[in-house]
Amino acid sequence: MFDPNAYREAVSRLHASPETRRKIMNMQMTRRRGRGPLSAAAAAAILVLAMTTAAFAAFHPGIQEWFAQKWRSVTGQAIGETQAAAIHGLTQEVGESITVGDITVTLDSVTVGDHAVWALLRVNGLSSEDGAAYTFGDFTMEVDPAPKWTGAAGEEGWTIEEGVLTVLASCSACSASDVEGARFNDGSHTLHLTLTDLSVGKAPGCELLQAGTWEFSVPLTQAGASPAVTIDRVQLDGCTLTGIRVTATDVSYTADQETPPAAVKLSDGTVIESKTNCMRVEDGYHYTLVWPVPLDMEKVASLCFDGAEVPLS
Amino acid sequence: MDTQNDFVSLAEQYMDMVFRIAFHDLGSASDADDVTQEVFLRLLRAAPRFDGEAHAKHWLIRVTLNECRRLRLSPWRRRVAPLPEPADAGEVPEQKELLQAVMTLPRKYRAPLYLHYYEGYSTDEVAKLLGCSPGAIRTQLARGRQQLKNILQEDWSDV
Repeated sequence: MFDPNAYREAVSRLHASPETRRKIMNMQMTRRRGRGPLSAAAAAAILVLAMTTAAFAAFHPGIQEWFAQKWRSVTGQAIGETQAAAIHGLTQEVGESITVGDITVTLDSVTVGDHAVWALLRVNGLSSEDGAAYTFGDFTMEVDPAPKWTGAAGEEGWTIEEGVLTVLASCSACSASDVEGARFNDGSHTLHLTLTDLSVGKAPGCELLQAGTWEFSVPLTQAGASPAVTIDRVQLDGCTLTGIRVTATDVSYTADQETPPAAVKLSDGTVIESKTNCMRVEDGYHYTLVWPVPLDMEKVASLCFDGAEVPLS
Repeated sequence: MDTQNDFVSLAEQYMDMVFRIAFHDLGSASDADDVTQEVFLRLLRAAPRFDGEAHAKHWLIRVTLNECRRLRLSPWRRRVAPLPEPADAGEVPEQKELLQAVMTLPRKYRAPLYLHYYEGYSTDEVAKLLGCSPGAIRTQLARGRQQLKNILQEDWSDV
């Protein structure tokens, strides 16, 4: 006989581990200091988009406009021509559309780096007023072959204007650059995007607008111009870093102990902190940090580690 | 979720719920810990606006179930499928036995069981959360209860 009270009593004794509790509360503390949280969770990426308020000023922005706006919000400066050109070099125009019922989803373009990929999508056929809330049942963003460790995934931002919803989403890997096949832009990877069941309204009272699945598969091409700075070994105060590789989109390195996430300093003194940090522990602490906007590598001057600075010239 | 205090409040209130759902789905405490971290990382990054406690709880449950599915489908997890771990059900043998019996049920029965009997959602609400029909949820609950009854009777007859 199943006894619900006994079951509830048994389940009430299940708790997240103290280590998990500490890490989650550290996410809060980390964010307060202005750095992104660390995650060692594994695997591919699924996210649920819940879009409730307008967030972007431009009308049907392209991927360059998204990055330009993000750069302004991070640095207070306009994006430069050479940086825009670098982003252009990392970006593939796709323009593939899939229609299910009245809803057409278009994969506009993707920007791909060593360990990060951004995808710009447009959703047409919405009849609701601007500012309405839309939710996809699932929004899966995966790279095939899957990296051994996948970092964060999520929407970067979105806007809805005159019935066209535009979403910038991204995902990242947490792989050492020296692992064969670890880089998204090595010409051997394919990006798979799957969106299902578009609803309008806020959960739990949302209404299914269009049932169905929109699936995209895009081979990620080798970036035309993706310079990298590499450093074999650096000794910091009480910590050794090896295999440092800095690119326009991210930095990866291995440390012999847990370290604060790196930021990058530009030649004009601007410090850029990563938007996502990923750490995995496997014969050392392997970090992959993704910049909020692809950088102009000509202007990257140094890496900063909580007071210590490593020149990248 | 407008402030960092909101995040702390949600983490304190729902961390164990997220862990318990993930544990029921995945059957592994370490995987459930990973999912719990990922769900709150996602909450921190997305900072969604919630209309109230029920909305926040619903969001967390949905993201938890998605994260569990993501982990189940991961090639990495398949390659290193963990050995079954004993549930930390405290020191009461009957409770530990009951929880272990629950974890031997097919996965599709476990989340409905938890959401209905522990979180107190109606079968209609569980159906919405899991994307099934209410009839399917009622069937899963009935079969889960019956299988539990059989398992627990077998255990007793073994003594």
